[in-house]
Amino acid sequence: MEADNTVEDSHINGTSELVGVGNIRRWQDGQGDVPVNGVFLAQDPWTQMGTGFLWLDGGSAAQLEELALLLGVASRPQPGPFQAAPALALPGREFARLLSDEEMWRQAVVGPELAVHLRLARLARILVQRADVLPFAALCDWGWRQVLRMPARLAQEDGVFVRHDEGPAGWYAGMLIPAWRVGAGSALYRAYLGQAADLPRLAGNEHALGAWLWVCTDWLGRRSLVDSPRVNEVSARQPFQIRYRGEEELLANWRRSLTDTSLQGPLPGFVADHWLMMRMLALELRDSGWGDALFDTTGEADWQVGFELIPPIQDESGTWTLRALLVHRWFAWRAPLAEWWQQPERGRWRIGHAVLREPDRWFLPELARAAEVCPAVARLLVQPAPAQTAVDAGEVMELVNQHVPRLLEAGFAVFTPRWEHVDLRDVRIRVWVQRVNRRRPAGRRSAAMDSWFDVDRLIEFDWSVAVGDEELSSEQFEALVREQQPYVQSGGTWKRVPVEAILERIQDFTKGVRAGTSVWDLARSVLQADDTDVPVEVSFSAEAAPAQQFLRSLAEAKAPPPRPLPNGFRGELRDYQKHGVFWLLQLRDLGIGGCLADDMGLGKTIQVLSFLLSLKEQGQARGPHLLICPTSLLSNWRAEMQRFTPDLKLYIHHGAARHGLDEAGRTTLSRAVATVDVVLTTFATLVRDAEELAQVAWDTVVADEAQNIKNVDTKQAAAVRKLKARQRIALTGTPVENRLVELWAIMDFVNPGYLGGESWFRRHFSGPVTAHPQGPQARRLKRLLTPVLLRRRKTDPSIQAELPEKWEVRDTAGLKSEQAALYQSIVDDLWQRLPHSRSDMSRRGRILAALTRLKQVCDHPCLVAGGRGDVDRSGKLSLLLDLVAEVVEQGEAGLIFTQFREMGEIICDVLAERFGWRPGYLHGGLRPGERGELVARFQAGSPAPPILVLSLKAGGVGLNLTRANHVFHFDRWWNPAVEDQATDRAFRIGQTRDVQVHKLVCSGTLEERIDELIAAKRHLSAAVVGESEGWITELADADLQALFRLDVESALEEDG
Amino acid sequence: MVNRSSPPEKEPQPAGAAVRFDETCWQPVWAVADKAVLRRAKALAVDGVLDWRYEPGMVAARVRGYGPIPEYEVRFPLVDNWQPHAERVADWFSRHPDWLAGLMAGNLPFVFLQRLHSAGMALWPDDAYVARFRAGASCTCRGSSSCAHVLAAALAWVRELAEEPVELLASVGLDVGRTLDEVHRLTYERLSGSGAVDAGIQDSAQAVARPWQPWPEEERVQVSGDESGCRRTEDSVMLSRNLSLYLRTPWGPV
Ligand SMILES: [Zn+2]
Repeated sequence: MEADNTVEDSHINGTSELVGVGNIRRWQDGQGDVPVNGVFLAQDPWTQMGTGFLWLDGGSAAQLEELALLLGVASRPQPGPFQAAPALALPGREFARLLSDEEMWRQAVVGPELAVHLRLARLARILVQRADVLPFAALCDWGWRQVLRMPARLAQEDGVFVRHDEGPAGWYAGMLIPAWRVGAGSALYRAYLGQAADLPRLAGNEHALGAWLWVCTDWLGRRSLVDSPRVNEVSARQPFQIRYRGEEELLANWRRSLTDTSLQGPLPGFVADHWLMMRMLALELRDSGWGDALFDTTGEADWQVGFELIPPIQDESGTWTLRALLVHRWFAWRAPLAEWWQQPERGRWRIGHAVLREPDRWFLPELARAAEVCPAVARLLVQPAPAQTAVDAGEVMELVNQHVPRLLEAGFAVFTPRWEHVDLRDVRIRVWVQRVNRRRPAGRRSAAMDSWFDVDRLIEFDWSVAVGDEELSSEQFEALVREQQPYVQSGGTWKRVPVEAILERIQDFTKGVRAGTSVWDLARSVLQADDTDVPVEVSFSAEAAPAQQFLRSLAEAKAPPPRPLPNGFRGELRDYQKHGVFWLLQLRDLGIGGCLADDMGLGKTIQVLSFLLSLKEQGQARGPHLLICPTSLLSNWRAEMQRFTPDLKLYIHHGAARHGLDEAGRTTLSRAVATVDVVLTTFATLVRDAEELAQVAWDTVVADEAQNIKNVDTKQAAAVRKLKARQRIALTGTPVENRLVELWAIMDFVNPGYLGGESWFRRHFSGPVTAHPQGPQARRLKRLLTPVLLRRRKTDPSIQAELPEKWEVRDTAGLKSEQAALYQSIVDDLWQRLPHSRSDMSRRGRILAALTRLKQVCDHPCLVAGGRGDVDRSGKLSLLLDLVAEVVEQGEAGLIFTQFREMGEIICDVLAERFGWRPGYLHGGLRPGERGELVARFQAGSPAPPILVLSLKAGGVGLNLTRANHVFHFDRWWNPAVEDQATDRAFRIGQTRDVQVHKLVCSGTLEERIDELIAAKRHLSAAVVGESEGWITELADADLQALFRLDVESALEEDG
Repeated sequence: MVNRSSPPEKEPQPAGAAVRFDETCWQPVWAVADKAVLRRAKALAVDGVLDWRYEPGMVAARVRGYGPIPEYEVRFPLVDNWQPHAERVADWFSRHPDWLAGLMAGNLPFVFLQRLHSAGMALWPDDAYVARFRAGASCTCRGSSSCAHVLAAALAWVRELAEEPVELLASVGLDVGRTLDEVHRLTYERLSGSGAVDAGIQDSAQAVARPWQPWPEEERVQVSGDESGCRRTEDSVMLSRNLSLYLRTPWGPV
């Protein structure tokens, strides 16, 4: 409906400065609430804008005149547009000014038509306020319907439509129009249009409302336009773009046409090139919200299908309901789908302030889409009048966890009850330990015998789960799990209980052990708790106090209290070594075992010896201790014991002699067991004598190089596990924590059951930790190991502070019988032929020759007697191999010095055979270029072998071998200065890691004695002994004999 | 009516299975066409089909020509006429809303297709239709009845159906709006028969004069997406770079 062209606007002149002076509501109060109504009628061509009419529904002409006065408009009552009543007629812009004065209209009783206009005026004001407007222009002679469609067409086609009929240019007028960039703004607009379509006087006249919004937007926008002081500055920053001829002029004209703010029309025109104008318009419309969706009346643009999950009514079957509904995307309007089917009419659906026309056209297919991703929706959709469906309690979890995310992803709205998603920190598992049972069912391997507290004792306990303020008994919680109903209602809200996490924790100490929960199980569960776990609060009754004390001590095992050290210990323990001894003693008190896994060289041996001595001095040992080690370390253990703890009585259960019986028919072992403190044996002997050794009630069983029992299926592992012991200790220098299955085997030896069964461990830890080395399971395992695994690394800053920059370790090997025989024959030969005069040159020569041969025999008998350089023939070589293996396993590198060229070759052969790579060998026979290359390759790191063999003399030539942090002196130059030089020259300044120097010594031989001699007067040695080994020749015969003598008992390392 | 419709030739499907409608449903028609002609038709279908409309039992389309003939007039028969079954179809849909919803989404439940089959109704071509198509299709190019123009028109039309699957109903002679109306009416009646309908749910309270006040939704538009909240600057904003138009913003409170 267009405005009546007869309406005159001449009398409007001069009213522009009049301001509305009244509040309409107040005026209406005195007029019996007579409603004010009005419309805007668009007028073609669009530059005329249109006319607004105001009238009173049911009021008199006099009242209308009064209203005109109140509003400050000069219009007189005249025939209105709907023959309903006389009306005031106002030019478009003045009508816009009037209706956008919200103070004036507040609470005024208005007719529905005017209400729509007021809302549109308000929307225009919001759009301008948010700068959601853009400049527009159209041909002056076009009608409104044509013009209103134009922005959407231009924006969508992203192109230009050119008028062909009358030349390249035409008259245009400019206007500021909505840009619709704010989505909720266009939603509001559609809601208004939907309402208007329901009003008979506005229905079919939507273009007038569109025009009205434009007029309002334009007028309010123009009044807000300013000249920015920064125009030049900003335009200077404009990106370069091609300017067309006439473009500047067009823009200037267009701009000028947008700044006129007079209240009367028509809009002023300007001449513009069609093509250029369309191009500029397209630029302005880019990124605007103009499009076909703007004119959607079905609701599809603003509404979406949603689903609401409604909890069961308390005390009923526990069935939930999934209800379909339509939800407005921007506003809080929604309606259940049930209402749609309950209304007889299909044409429109009113929800909130909105009217949706034939919405089933889009929501039915949407429901079908939802049904594809959610079975519950599919179920809903097969029922006539689809609106809702029942969801079993058991299905809720799946719905929430799997289907709801898919629905959300597919663009549906989903409403779930106000679930306080319970934070794990708000959940507690409360365990109440009532009693510790005296006896435990038989059948399970016991780790401890008669210790003060049996960790395998079963506990009686009760547990409950606290979720926020709600407390669930174990029965209630189990019902929750059984019914897959992870929700509890608390204070009007539903809480989703993290059942899985709770269950996992509870199963830690309720499952796995069918016979019942032991203190051990409980301890394990409490210990491994992570910050991310559900906390377990354990409380104890008075009867369960021992269990409480056990748990507390276990938690503190890592920081054991200091105790007196054994008096009989001949040596000095470093602080970390003392700590290790205290730790072992603490575990002893707790009745559990431990794994001491310090890096090699940190002194695991003396910590254990100190510990055993301490037990002896305090009368704690209930029997002999059994020490099991690899054959190559037997001599070392014996030597260390003699040196540091001579008070410990030792029996070595090894070699043929062990089979003897005494006159009473007792075995050597049974006799020894009654008298000695420590029985030392090898893994190989253990396997052979497994039955016999298993008869003994050992106090402590120590397994050195515990990687020997890492494979549970081996005989030695089985034999070790068969041993009865009060406490078990494992020693290892390899990084066990990275090899989880080995770790399990070792820990299961020291504390059977602590890490669960093997398959449980694999599932629970091996898999997850391997996949996520920094993950929660890795942290859990670490915490679990904290009390029972002590591992210090040389690189730990606190340890480094205690270590010298370069420190020496003496590693003692035994002689094989072949070696011992050769050794003895050389010594015998020397005594037979040795001239007695000290000054005799031949005497010196013989001594030095014998010295060399004896050294060679200690190294490897083939150096003297020929034959193959097998490992088995040399105790020292086997020891070297074991030591190198440790270095290699820790990812470190080492240098091996020998003074015998041939020995170097043998070492290379043996390493190649054992590890699959052959180390470089740096000796005097190499050309300088070859040496340099060898050194460079070694320094380059992996994949070059981590070991380099050097001849002692070749080693001193300004080499840079900083990759290595271990130096092995395979044989000794009985002059510390020479050895030191070799070591020091090899290690240049800049070596950051601590260097560990291993001096390999054969026990019971001159190697051991000279080593002690030198150690005793080390500070003298450099001055006294000079550069050579000549000082030895100066010794008196008796001294010499003592020095060279073979102590068969300590030297011989028999193959058990 | 001759039984000539059959569900797609697939194995019996589990419950919930559906067939997506797209141009492959018309494979029987494409399959018998000459390969070269079909290739040309596919190219032409992209933008050569100017418009189409329904005529009784037919689709009529205009297809772009070349040379002296600017366009061709094409006709081909509809797959089926459901007009006689309109009531039954509305009844089906009111009892099985998933059938209707599926059809409108272009994803037709298999059970629905089976029901159509047993009722002798079709939504897309079978062999009998192919024969009718060949016999009944026509083109002003005076070529054969399966010239590229006919095929192009059919292709373009089928593609539009796939875009707007609810129009499948129109493609078998039903009025979409009237069908939906009827489904709704039947559903409503069944509900009200069961007493499930609230009385007096209708309103037209709109037409009453009432005190005017802002909607809360309008406030929402005012602030939506405005992270800076009340900390607004008095700086002007650039409205149009080309025109160097600046808007003083904001005004005071609305
Ligand atoms: Zn043709």
